[in-house]
Amino acid sequence: MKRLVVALLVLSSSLPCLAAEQATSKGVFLKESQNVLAPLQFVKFCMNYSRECEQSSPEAQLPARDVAFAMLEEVNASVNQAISPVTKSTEPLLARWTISPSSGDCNDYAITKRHLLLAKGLPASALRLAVVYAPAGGHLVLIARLQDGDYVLDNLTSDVRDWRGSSYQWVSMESGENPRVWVSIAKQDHRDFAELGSK
Amino acid sequence: MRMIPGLVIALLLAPSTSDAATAVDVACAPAAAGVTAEKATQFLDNPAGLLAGIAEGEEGRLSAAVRDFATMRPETVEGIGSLSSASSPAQNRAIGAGLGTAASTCVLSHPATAMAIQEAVLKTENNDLIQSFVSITGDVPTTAVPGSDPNGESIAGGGRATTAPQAAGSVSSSTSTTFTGASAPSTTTFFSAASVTSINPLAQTSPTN
Repeated sequence: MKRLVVALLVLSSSLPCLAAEQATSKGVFLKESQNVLAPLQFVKFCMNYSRECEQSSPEAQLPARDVAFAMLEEVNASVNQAISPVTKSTEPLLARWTISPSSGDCNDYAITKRHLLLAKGLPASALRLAVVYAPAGGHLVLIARLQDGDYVLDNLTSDVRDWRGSSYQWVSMESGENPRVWVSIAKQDHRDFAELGSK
Repeated sequence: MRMIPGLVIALLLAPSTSDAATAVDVACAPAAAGVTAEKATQFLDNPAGLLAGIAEGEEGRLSAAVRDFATMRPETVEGIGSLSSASSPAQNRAIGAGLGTAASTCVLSHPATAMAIQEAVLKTENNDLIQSFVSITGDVPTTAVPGSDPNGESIAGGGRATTAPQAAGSVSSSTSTTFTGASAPSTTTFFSAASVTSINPLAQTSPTN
């Protein structure tokens, strides 16, 4: 009987992992590939806001959709509303990502959303900044990784979307293990960065 | 059940890939004969001394020397700021190229070292060095704002963007930053550049990438 209880405990504790593996096989998560350099402005961001770049607890689990999705929608909408859009310089010395500015660009929106969701208790491993190519050029979004997949919080759209619903080409994002480390995003059907040159 | 203690011990003894790459003094490549610990110490004692051994017009040698130091003796990135201060624009471009190559090499196996190199580059605040570094590493500029999407995705965030004049800033170790809205954690501010001084409501949005 004791062995049966232990077996059930082991099985139940592994269920989220099994669910995540099954979700990965269905393509609901962006696939991480090899380490790449973080955007230089992200490095500056970590120098200026070191606490924003701390790792989450190793025990932290991905949030369930029914718990977190409404929170994502609320934060996405409120930040999109609160920050006035403004085109800023991308010159390395001039550029600066700022949390909760009165006006800003995609970088400021994304880090502000991440900051607010961290404050609400979501783990850093579930909140990944990601560089994509939008039709107009380089763009930064926030990926929220929930148990059932990856969702995009974006200053260009009002809805929180499944990553597969966007037309972006995915370049790189923060790793789940260490938010300071960035990884390239592996080939994802027809939308990956590697195929940019062939189109 | 006897296997479980053995498994636990094996897991405890297994090397952690994340820990292995967190120390910034971990070399990304085995030290070559010419890049000894003694030379690294000499460099850190007098970073500008590296320039004395390299004649003007031989920036390629400077670039290679910086690359080798950064990949084989990463502790030497501490001296990059002093080296940059003593260098000409051409020499700073060479230093940036060397560091860009080193960071690109290091990132695959030693991402923490690569990030330490990036931090050293930013701390120089030297535009020639940084531009050269970025040209090697291929940083993607990100600056999308609503209204910049030609495909007309829905506008969020209050309409078309304006353009903010940018003001050059300087490195500061004591400047405090004031935030509107949600409060950010208080940390040391290294960069106070790019302050938005005014917004021109008539300015057109122009994607800059």
